[in-house]
Amino acid sequence: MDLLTYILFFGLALTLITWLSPARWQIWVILAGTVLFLALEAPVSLLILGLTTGSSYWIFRTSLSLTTATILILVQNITIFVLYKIGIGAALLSPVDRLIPLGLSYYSFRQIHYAIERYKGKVGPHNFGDYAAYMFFLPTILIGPINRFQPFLRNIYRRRWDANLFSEGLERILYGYAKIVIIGNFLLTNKLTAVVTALEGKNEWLATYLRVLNYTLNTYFQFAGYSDVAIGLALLLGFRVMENFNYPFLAPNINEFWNRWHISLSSWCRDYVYTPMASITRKPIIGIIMTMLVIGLWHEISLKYIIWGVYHGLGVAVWHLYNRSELSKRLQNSLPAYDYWAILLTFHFVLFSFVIVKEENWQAIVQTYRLLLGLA
Amino acid sequence: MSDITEIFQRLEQKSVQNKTFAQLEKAYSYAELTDTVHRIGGVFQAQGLTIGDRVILSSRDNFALGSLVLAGLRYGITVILMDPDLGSIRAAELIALCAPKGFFVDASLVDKWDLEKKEGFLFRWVKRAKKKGTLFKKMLGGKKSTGKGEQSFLETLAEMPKADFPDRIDPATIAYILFTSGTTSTPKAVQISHKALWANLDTITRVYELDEHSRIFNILTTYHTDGIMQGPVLAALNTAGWYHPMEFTVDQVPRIFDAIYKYRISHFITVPTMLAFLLKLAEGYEDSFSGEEFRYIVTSAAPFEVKLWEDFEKTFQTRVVNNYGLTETVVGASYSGPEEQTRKVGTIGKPIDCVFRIVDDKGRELDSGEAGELLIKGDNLLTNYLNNEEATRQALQDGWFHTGDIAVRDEEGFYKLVGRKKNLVISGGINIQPEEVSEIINTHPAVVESVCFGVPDPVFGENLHACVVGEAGTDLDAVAIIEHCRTQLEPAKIPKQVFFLNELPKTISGKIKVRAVRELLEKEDVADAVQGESHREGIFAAAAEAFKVPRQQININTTAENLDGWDSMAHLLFVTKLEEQFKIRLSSKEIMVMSTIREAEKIVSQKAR
Repeated sequence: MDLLTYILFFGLALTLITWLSPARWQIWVILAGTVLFLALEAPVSLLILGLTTGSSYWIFRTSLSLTTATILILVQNITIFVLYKIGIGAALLSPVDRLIPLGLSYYSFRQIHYAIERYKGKVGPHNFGDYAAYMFFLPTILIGPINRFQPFLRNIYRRRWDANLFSEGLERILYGYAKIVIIGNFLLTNKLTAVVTALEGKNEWLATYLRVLNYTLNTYFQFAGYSDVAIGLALLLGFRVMENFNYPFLAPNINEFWNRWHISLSSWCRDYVYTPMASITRKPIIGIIMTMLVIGLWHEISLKYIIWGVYHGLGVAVWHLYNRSELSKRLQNSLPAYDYWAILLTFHFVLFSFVIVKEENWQAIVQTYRLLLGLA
Repeated sequence: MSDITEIFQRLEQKSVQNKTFAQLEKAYSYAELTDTVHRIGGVFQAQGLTIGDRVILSSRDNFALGSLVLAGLRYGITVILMDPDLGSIRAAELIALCAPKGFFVDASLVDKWDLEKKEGFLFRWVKRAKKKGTLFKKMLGGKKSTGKGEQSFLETLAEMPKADFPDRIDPATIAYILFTSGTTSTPKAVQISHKALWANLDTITRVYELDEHSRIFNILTTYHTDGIMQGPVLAALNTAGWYHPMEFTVDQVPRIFDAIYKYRISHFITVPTMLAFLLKLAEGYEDSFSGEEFRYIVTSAAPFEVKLWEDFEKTFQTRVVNNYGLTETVVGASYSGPEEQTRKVGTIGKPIDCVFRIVDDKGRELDSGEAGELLIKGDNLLTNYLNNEEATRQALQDGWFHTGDIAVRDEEGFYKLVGRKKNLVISGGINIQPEEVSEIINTHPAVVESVCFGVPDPVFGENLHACVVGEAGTDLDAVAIIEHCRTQLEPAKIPKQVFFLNELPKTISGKIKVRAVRELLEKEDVADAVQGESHREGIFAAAAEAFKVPRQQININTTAENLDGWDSMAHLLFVTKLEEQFKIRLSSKEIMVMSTIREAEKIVSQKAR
C-alpha cells in the first residue's frame, strides 16, 4: 500500500473512532492515534517528537528567563534539524537509513514557532495536553501545513460535530487525491513524459522545456494534493488548519508567488526570519535574502538550494525595487495586457528556478539552461 | 400569560425530557431537572412548607440553584437568593429581615453564617470541585462518594422521596426575593410575584424571538436577576437550553468565544462590562457571532456606552440589544432593538408591555427633551419590598414605580438615561450603594472616616473608589482596607482604589463634599486619557502613510490580518515612522509583537512615557 492510501485509511479509521468517543476524550484519541501511527511507521521520529515536545514545553516552566528558554529551544530544534538535514543525525542512529525522520521538518518548525510566540507573549492560557495535541496531530504531521498553535488551540475548544465541515473535509480529500493521482501521476508523469520522450531528438528545446514544465507542475500538484488530503483529514476531525497553496502560478509577481506557494512555510519565515532580521539590521534586503535562504535550506542543506534561495531572494528584492520605480508605473500604463505578461514572467522565473532543483549535478543544470536559452 | 403549572407540563413531555436543560461543568437534561424538582418537593413536604413560605437559597452549584429556584416556583415556595459571598454581618441582617422557614445552602456557609443557631431547617450539601485524575480513579474502581456529610447536592437529594405538584399557584404568590441596594446602607428585599415574573419573561421571549431551539449563553451571577431569570428560568419557559459552562474571568475570554461557537448559541445575555472585555481581547475571534444559529446579544443591568456599543458591533459584525430594567421590574422594561423601529444606539429604546413617564420633582409629567425621573407602570413590577413599608411607599405610588433614574424622551419616543437620582454606583452590572461600603470601612479600628463614590470607567462603567482618613499614628494602608472589606462585602463591592487624605472636605453643616474629592481624582485620569488619545492620532497617521491607505481606513481594531496594505515590508516602514514621530527606539521583540494598531498604541504609549 502506498503512503497516501495508508495515511488515508489510517486517518479515516481514526476519524471514526474519534467521533464515537466521548467528547472530552476525543483530543486524546487523536493524540493516541498519532503515537500509534508513528510507532508503526517511524519510531525514531516518535522518540524525537516525544522528547522535544516535552522539553520545548517544560523548559518554560523552569526558572530560566524567557529569553534563555526560547534560545535553548531554538538551539535544540535547529541542531536536530541541521544534523539530520546534513545526514549526521541519521548516521548516528543507523548507518543505512539516511532519510530524515518522518515529519521532522514540520514539527521542528512548529516547536520553534511555539517558543517564539511564547516569548512574544502571544500564546493564550493552555496546558501541556493542548500543546501535546498540537504536536501530535496526525493530519499535519507528515507533510504540513506548518499550522500555528493559536488557531489550533482555539479549535480544541471550539470543536463540535459539524456535518458541513465533515463533508468539506471529504471533498478536500477527493480534490487532493485527484491532484495527486489524475493530474500528477497520470497526466503529467505518464502522458506528458511520453510526449517529452517522443520529442527527444526531434525538438530538443521543446522537449527540455516540457521536461522542466512537467517537473514544476508535478511538484505543485503532488504537494498541493498532499496538502489537500492533510487539510481534509483535519476537517474530518473537526479542525480547520491553514491553507498551504493559493493558485501560486497565477501570481503576478514573485513576491506574491511566495504569498501563495507553501504559505505555511513562507509565512513562518516571514514572521521568524524576515521580521527579526529586518528589525535588527533595519535593512529589508538582508531580511529578504535570509528568508529565501532559510526556505531553500529547509528543503535540503546543499549548495544547490543555497543558490536556489539566493535566486528567489534576489528576485523578490528586485521586484520591490521595481515596484517602487517609475518604470513600473509607466509599464503598467502603457503595456497592453500587462497583468498577463506579469503572470507569464513570474511563472517562468519560478520554472527556471526548478532547473536548479531538478537536475542531478551542475553540468546537467548548465546544459539545461543552455538548451532552454537556445545556446546549445 | 404563562404559568408554572403549564410550563412543567411541557417540561415533562417525552419530547422535551431528553433535551439539554443546562450545560454547566457537565450537561443536565430536562429529565434530570424534573426528577430533581420532584425530590426538592419531597424536602418541602417533609419540612411542612406550604405555598407562600420562604426559604433561603445559597450555593455555588449552579445546577442546585437553578433547580431549587424552579422547584420553589413549581411548589409555590418563595425562594430568597442570597449571594454566598455575603459577609456574616450582612447575612445575619438579611436573614433577620426575611425570617425564612429554612435554608438550602452549601455546607461551607453553615459555619460562615452561623446557620446552626438560626431558626428553620437546614438542608446542606458539598459543592464538589472538579477533580483531576477521575479517569484513572474510575478505572481503578475508586469510590464515588467521599463519606457521610460530604455528599453533593444530587447525592443528598437522592435519598428524598418525590412529591406531587400542587394543582395551581395563585399568580399573586411571591415567586422570589432578590436584594437590591437602596438609598440606605441595608439592601432592600424585592418581592416579585408569579404574575410579574411570567408577564415579563413572556415579553422577553417575544422580543428576543426565543423558542424551543434557542440556546441561551448566560454566565452572569445567578444571584442577579439577569443571571437567574434570564438563565435557567427563561430556558425552562421555552424548553430551551441554558449554557453556563464557566464563570467569567479575564483569562476565560477566549473560551467564551469558543463556547458561543461550540454550543451553537443563539442568545448571549450579558452586561456592558463583559462586552468591554470581549472587545479588548477580540483579535482573532471577530467571527464568533457570525454562526448561522446566532441571533442576538442582549446587554442589561448597566448603562451601555455609545462608543462601546458601536465598536463592538463594528468589530464583531453583530447587533447588540440594549435592555433597560431593574430588579424591581423582573428583568426588562424597555429594549433598544432588535427590531429596527425600536433600535437607536445610545438609548434604552422603547418600553414594551409597560408604560413610561418622565416627571419632575413635583410629579408633573414632562415633555420630550426634558429630563426628569423615569416612572414605570406595568404587570412586570414588584409587589413590594419585604418588611419595608417606607421604601415601598416611596417607590410605588398609584401603581407607578419610581426608578430613581433620570431620563429624557426624544421626539421619536426613544428614552435615554442621563443620570441618577439616588446615589448609586453600577460597576460591572452590580449595583453598589456607596454608603454601604463606607459604613463597613468605618468599622475598621484605625479608620476615622471615609467616603466612597463612583468614577467613570471604560470597562466597568463605573468603579468604586474610597477615600479614607486614618487614625493619626497608625500604619493604615490600602491592603488593610481591602482585606477588611473582603471579610464583610461581596467581591464586586470592594473598592477598586483606596486613597488616603488627612481630612475629608466638608460643608458647613459637616457633610462630606463628595464632589470635591471626586474631582481631584478625575483630573489625574483625564491627564492619562489625553496622553493616550494624542498618541492614537499619530499612530493612525503613520499607519495610513506606511500602508498606503486612506486615514479613515485605520482604526484601533486594524490588524495585519484585516488590512491589505499591511505586509512585511510596509510593517518595517510603519515601525520606522513611529520611531521618528515619537522619538523612540523599538526593540525586535516589540516590532514582532506589533501586529495590530491596538498593540502599537500600547507599546508607543509605554515607550513615550
